[in-house]
Amino acid sequence: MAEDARAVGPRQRASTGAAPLPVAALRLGFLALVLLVWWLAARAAPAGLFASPAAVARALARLLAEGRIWPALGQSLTVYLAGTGAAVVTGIALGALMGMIRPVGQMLDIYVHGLAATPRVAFIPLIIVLLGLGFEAKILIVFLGAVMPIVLNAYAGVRAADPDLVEMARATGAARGRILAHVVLPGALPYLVAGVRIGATIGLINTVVAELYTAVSGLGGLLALYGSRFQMAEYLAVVVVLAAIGVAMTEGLRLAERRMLRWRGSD
Amino acid sequence: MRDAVHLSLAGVSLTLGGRPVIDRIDLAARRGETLVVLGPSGCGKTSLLRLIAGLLAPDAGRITVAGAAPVPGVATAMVFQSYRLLPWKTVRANVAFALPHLGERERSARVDRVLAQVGLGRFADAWPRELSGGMQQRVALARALAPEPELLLMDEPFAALDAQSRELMQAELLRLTGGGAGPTVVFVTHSVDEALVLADRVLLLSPRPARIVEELPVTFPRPRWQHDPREAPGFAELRRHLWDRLRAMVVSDPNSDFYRGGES
Ligand SMILES: Nc1ncnc2c1ncn2[C@@H]1O[C@H](COP(=O)(O)OP(=O)(O)OP(=O)(O)O)[C@@H](O)[C@H]1O
Ligand SMILES: [Mg+2]
Repeated sequence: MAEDARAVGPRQRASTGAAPLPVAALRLGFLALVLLVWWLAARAAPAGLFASPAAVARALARLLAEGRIWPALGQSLTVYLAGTGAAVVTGIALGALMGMIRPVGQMLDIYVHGLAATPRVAFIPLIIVLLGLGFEAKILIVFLGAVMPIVLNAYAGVRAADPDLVEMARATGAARGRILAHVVLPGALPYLVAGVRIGATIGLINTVVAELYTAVSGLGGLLALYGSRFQMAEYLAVVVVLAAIGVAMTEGLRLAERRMLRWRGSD
Repeated sequence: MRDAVHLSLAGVSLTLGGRPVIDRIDLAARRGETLVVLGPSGCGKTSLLRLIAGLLAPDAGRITVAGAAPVPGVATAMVFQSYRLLPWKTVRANVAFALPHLGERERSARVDRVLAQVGLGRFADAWPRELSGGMQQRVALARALAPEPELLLMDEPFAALDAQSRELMQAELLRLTGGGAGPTVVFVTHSVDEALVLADRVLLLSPRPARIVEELPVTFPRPRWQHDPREAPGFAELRRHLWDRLRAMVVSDPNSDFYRGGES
């Protein structure tokens, strides 16, 4: 903790207004580079195997205009958000429980690590036997992928709680729940956000995996359809939509994180 | 009522990690009295405060606060050497954290009042990292005083401050706790001067395991933030006496860095 005796008034912070513009410019520049390489690759490839950025953009516009992509997007987002949301809630609760109650953590952590290292695709046949090919099976596949990093990060974050702050809270008479809510979880927030970010990424991957392995549906279903018909422009348009979902998710998390961690200042 | 025993320890012993830390301590504090605990490094002073706060249970003996076994709560407050503010809460929310038992309106009025008392009214909405060490420790003091505790435990609260802030904080503490209905205070320090400025009674502890080797009444007139006891007759003698005792204990303690093999 900084001991410098700056007489800084409340809420007086260096302005960060200058930074975002160059970052945005750099990102757009890099995107232009990617598009250029893509375009060159598409020109070099034999016709029909690959599509140029312009063809993909036209295909995307067509998919959006004809409304063919909306039901698929809706199905995928439902599976993705339900599975990932359940993973966030369950993962943080389980990780916090393991971290707060030592014996629970010691009992479970080896299994959680073991499960995290097992390819979750291995469970898909079992899940199909249990739940069939519908929504429930897909949501469970997403959930299983997303939950592990969230549990492990929450567990690590709760165990890293500052024992001095916990003792301070105990001295005020705070019970476990109050200590968890005011001391342990806020302190673990950087861990929690990291876990959710990884979990959300795996969740998106598993959404597509689930849509390919169970009843074909959603964006994963469109990938299978266009891939088998060699409609490369449409195929890549769906890939672009998936990437956009991923970007929206991580950017949303980044914004939420910045807001929740504003007490740390800009360092 | 003021003369009633508020805090008492009878034959209290504590072992931590297989090593005795506190050895049969007896003490009693009257309501409103300020006890200062002085002792060599690592002798068990913090452990003693943890016992009194009810954060640790003794292995033997009995502790009573207001006639009952101690439990952490709003009747007892503790101030730590490292301020222990929650960095994700504003100054106001840090102080409010110690007041879960009050309703919303009463809590915010109380927070405003104690922050004004420690001179931090303007910083209520600041984050802890925006404050200097002295200001952070004043927030910690405000948090401890906010629930109007009957017993205030302070563990070298000013040790990390520079000499000036430390003097100002000592005066502030005397002012804030000195009034008629002030709390009983148990104050741990390494500083002989600080002990003599604050104490009604100084308890001198031995090296680990801690025993009370001397109880010294300190009778300089109060209020001491107005009459500096360091100018009072007798201060220099008490100071020298305590230093001689501490030095003798430290140089004859085989576990100490300053051990002189029993030559003194
Ligand atoms: N949880 C613990 N487990 C084992 N030993 C401990 C524990 N806490 C403290 N001790 C030991 O007990 C002794 C007393 O510790 P304590 O912190 O009470 O001393 P102190 O007088 O406050 O020290 P200091 O002057 O450094 O603040 C030390 O030797 C310390 O190493
Ligand atoms: Mg200590």
